[in-house]
This record gives sequence, structure tokens and C-alpha cells, in this order.
Amino acid sequence: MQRWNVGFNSLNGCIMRRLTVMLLILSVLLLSLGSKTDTLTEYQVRAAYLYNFVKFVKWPGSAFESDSQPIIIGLFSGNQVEEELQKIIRNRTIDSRSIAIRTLENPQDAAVCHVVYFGDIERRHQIATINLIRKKPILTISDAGYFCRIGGMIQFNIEDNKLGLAINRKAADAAQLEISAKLLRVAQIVE
Amino acid sequence: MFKLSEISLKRKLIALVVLVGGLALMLAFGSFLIYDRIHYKKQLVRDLEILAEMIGSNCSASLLFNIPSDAEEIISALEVHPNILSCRIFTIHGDTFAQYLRSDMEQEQMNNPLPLFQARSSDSLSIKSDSTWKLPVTLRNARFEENRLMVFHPIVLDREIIGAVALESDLTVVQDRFRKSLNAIILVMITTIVAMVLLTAKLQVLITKPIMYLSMLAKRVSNERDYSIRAKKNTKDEIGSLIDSFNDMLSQIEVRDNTIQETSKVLENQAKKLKKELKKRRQVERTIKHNLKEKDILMQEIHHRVKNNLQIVSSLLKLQLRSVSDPGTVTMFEDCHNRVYTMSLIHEQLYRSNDFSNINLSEYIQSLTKHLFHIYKDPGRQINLDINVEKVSLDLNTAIPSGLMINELVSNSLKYAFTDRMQGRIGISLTRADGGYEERTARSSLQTYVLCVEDDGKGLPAGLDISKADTLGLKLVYALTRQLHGEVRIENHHGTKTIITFNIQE
Repeated sequence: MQRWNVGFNSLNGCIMRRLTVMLLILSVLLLSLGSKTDTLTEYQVRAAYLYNFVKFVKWPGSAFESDSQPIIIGLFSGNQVEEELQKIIRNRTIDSRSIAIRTLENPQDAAVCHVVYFGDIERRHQIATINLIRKKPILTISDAGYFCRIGGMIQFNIEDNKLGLAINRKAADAAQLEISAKLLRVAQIVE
Repeated sequence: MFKLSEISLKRKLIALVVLVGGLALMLAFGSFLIYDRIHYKKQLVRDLEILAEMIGSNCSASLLFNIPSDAEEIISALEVHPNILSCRIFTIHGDTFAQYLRSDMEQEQMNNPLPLFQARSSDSLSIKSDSTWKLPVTLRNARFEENRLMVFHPIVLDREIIGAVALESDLTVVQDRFRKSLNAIILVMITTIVAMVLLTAKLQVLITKPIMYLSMLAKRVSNERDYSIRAKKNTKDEIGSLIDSFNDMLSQIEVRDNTIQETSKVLENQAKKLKKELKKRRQVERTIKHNLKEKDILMQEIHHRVKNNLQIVSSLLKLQLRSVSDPGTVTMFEDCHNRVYTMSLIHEQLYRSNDFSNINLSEYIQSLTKHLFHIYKDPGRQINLDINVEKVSLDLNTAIPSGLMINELVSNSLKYAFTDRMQGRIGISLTRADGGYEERTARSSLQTYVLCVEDDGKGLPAGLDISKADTLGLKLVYALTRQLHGEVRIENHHGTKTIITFNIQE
């Protein structure tokens, strides 16, 4: 079952493919400047996927201080997905919990979050943050092609409007996060 | 021809139980089939909705992350459901995201479910939707279309519709189930009816046995005429009442039969007595008949002998006449001879006939006048005789005076009426008079007869009173008329007409 269009064998190939996607998105953004169209931007798509991933994950009870505590999604400052995500989560709940976005300045800030999303350009924080929050019930998501290998839980990429998804189940299990089988079946499992 | 009345009670009972039981079974099984069909259809809808729910749930991630191949792989598992014709998964925008077609189905045969579920009442689910919402308003629905069942079910994640599943199933399972149920029902019905027949055949004895017993007894009573037989009562139900009534009826019949038998014996005795009496009477009758015959013979003999004796007297007178020369004496002898002959003629006629009590007067007058015309015949004289006598029979007591009177009157006419001529006519008539002296009583009736003797001769002397006549002939006529309690009248006009009227009891 090959749903994953990005090869994990070659890191360089992955970077090249990511750059190609970035260039394509950049060109689309430039073309769409000044004229608002219905076409979804890459950030909108990523924000939507990010939101959808959260739907398929269950946190242990200890992850929340109270029943009313929102699911906190942490994004490092400067991440352009934040703005789109803000739009999506407005007035929406997941498992009866509202969703809040927290802008992270450094890896330590991620400890209070339930989800941390890393943009592919935030490579510098990824390893430090993952190491810091390892085994804590915090879902880590990134669109970096190597993310699972460095201990991240969900990595995805979008190519030709198709999703490539990989899940590090071991990391998720270690963090006591229960990822829905529905999501697992559409993803490549990385041990 | 098949007649219900000719079928035995046992068969009727079995047929009745089977008919009622069969109808009840048919009604019960028919209701069950209808209920089962309706219930099974509902069950099928529920099952299909659950299946759609499961498919939707399993495909939610595929749908959210836009992986149609995954969804198609999920729904390809529907192969294990041979009755599922097709399955479609729609995106939130109403586009087909993934689809499954049963191997024998063509793409063209696949119905688009969206128009079927459009324009429905608002959805009961308070689900959120955004501006891109293009799916039908009512998402949860099921429709039966031309032997197909279509179910449309939303895919909801966290109270948010992310797509829909449309499942299409054929109804062969419903038909198969109906057929199997029908087969089972037919089998059960046949088994039940056979069991009913067997059980009824065994148990009908409870009802028919007492009736058959009564019927047998009735037949025995009828054949043997034994009304002392009584049925034994074993139950207190209607059959028991029937047996009581039967026994009571037999008792009444027995009493009546005894009475009839006693009466019959009495009648038989009486009949025997009557038979004896009849026998006696027949013997008496035979004796009487015999005596009567003897009497007839005797009468015949008497009349014969009287006639013979009278003829002897007549012959003697005739012989004596030969020795007499005086004309007055000759006339006297002739008259006597004629009178005796007249009487002998009556006796002759009586003994020749079978009837000894009545004389046919017509024949008698014929014979008498023939004799008189022979006695007083005159070769040169032509006397015509007219006899007009009704068919009358007179008894001896009337016939002899009548004969004597005719003898006297005709003799008188032949002797004296035509002395001065060569031609003449004598008329004799005897007729029944209408009314007149007829007198009827309850037991018998008196009939008046008119005897008329006439001639066209010179007539009797004028002023002749017959009651005071000197001649023996007229005296005899008058005396004999009185003997008959009659009347005599003489008319002297162009001859002599003597009219004698007398009554005879008939």
C-alpha cells in the first residue's frame, strides 16, 4: 500500500521535493495577489489538515487540567498556518473541547500544549522540542519529511492535492496518545 | 353426484376440523408472512444504515484527508454482501469521492441517489455546515425503488458532516426469505393438517361414538321391532340428553306398541268371529239359494201342473162342447173354455219364464188375442187388431184379473160387435197414467195403469150400467175391476170403449 509519495530513503530527495512544492505554492500565491480567488492556499490546506489530525487523536485524562480546558495547539511564532488555523477553529470544538492556539517562542513553551505543529522551516526547534516533550501527551505534527525519524508523531506532505502521511506510532504510544485506527489506516506507520 | 348429506358424520367432522384449522393456520401464517415481510424490510433498512454508518466512519479519515483509494478499498469489502449493488461516498460538496459496484453491475445501472433525497424536510440532526454545503438537506433516509433499497447516510465527525454514504441493495434477500418462509409454512401447514386429520380421526370417536351407538340402536329397534331396548347413558352433555330423549321415545313407542298389539289381538278375535259369522251366513245363503232354486223348480212345476190341469179342464170343456147342441150352452161352454184357457195361458207363460212373480203382459196379450181370434174366427170377416201395450210386468194377482178382463172384453167384441159387418177393428192398450191416481209413499209407490179395450162395432146398448149388467162377462169385468181396486168406464161412441183404471204397487 503506497500512499506516501515522498521517499523516506533519501533525505536530499525529500528536501528537493519540498522545495519544489514551496516554489509551486509561492508561484500560486504570487499569481493570486491582488485578485482573491476560491482556490485554497497551502496554509489553508495545512491548517485544515492540522485541525483534522486533532480529531483522530485522544489524549489521556491527565493531559487536561479540567473538562473545560481547551485543546491547546502550539505553533512557533511566525508560522503562517496560525492565521488560517485561527479561522478554522473559530466556534468549533473537538470532543466537546474548544481549541486554542498558543504561539511558542521556545521549546519550553510547548510543555503546556496538547499539540505542537512545526513548520518545515522551524527545523531548529524540532529536535529540541521533541526531546523536551518526549513521553508527554503532546501530539507533534510537522510537514517535514524526516519528522518521524527524529521522534515526531505525525508527518505529512501535500503533493498534487494529495496527502502523504506517516505516523510514528511508537512515539504516540509512549506519549499515551491514542491515534484513531481510521487515521492509522490512511497513514504509513513508522516504528 | 357428490352430496354433502351422503357423507358420513366422521368424514364431515374431520373435514370441518381440517377446514377450520386450515383457515386459521392460513390466516395466522398469512399475517405472519406480512408482518415478517414488513419487519424484515425495516430490519434490512436498519442493517443497511448500520453498514452505511460503519462505512462512513471508516472512510471519514480517507474523506478528510482526500484519499479516495483508501475509501474504495474500504468499500470494496462490500463484496462479502452479495445483495449490495453499489456504494458511493460523497464529499461535502456532493462529488463522488469513491464508489463500489457489484461485479455484475454496469455503471449505467447505478442510480444517482442525490435527486432522490433532495427537497426533503429539514434534517433532524443539528449539524454544522459551511457555505460549501451541497449535499441534500435530509441525509438520513431510506427508499425502496423498483426492487431496490437505497440508503443515504451522512458521515459525521465531531458533529460535523464531512460527507455521505449512499448504499444500494437489491431485495433478493427479502424475496428469498419470503420464499423460504412460504416453503416452511407450506411444510408446517401440510404437517399440521395431516396431524389434524390423524388426531381428529382418532378423537372424533368421542363425539361420533355415542351418535353411532344411538344410530345402531335405532336400526336394531327398526329391524327387530323390539322397543324394550334402551341406550346406556355415559355422559351428561347434549349426547346424554339425546340418549334420554331416545329412551323416553322408545318407552312411549313401547307403550303404544303394546296397546296396538292388544287392540290388534282384540280385532283379530273379532275378525275371527266375523269370519265364522260370514261362513255361517254364506252357508245360510247357499241354503237359501238352494231353497230358492228348489222353490223356483217347485213353482215351475206348480205352474206347469196348474197349466196342465187348466188345459185338461179346458179340453174337457171342449170335449163336453161337442155333445152340446143348444147354442146358449155352446156359448157358455166356449166362454168357460176361453176363461180357463186364459188362466192356463198365464201359468204357461209363468213356468216358461224364469220369473215366477211377474208376467210380461205384452207377450201374454199377444198369445191371448191370437187364441181368441182363432176361436171366434169368421172366414168372411176381417177384424184388425191393434195392440198398444207398454212394456209392463204384472204379478199373478193382477195379471190373472187383467187377462180375464181382456178375454171377456175381446170375446164380447168378437162375438157381438161386428155381427152386422164384415170388417172391424179391435184395439187393446195398456198405458201408465201420468199423475192421476199415482200416490207415492216413502217405501213404495203406486202406479196407475189404464187398460183400454175398444172396437168400432155397433156398441153396447145405450144406458148400460156395467155394475148392474146381466151378462156374466160384464159382471166378471166389473167384479175383477173391483178386485183390483180400480174403476171401469164404458164409452159408447162409434163402437165400444171400455176403460179400466187400476193402481199397482211397484
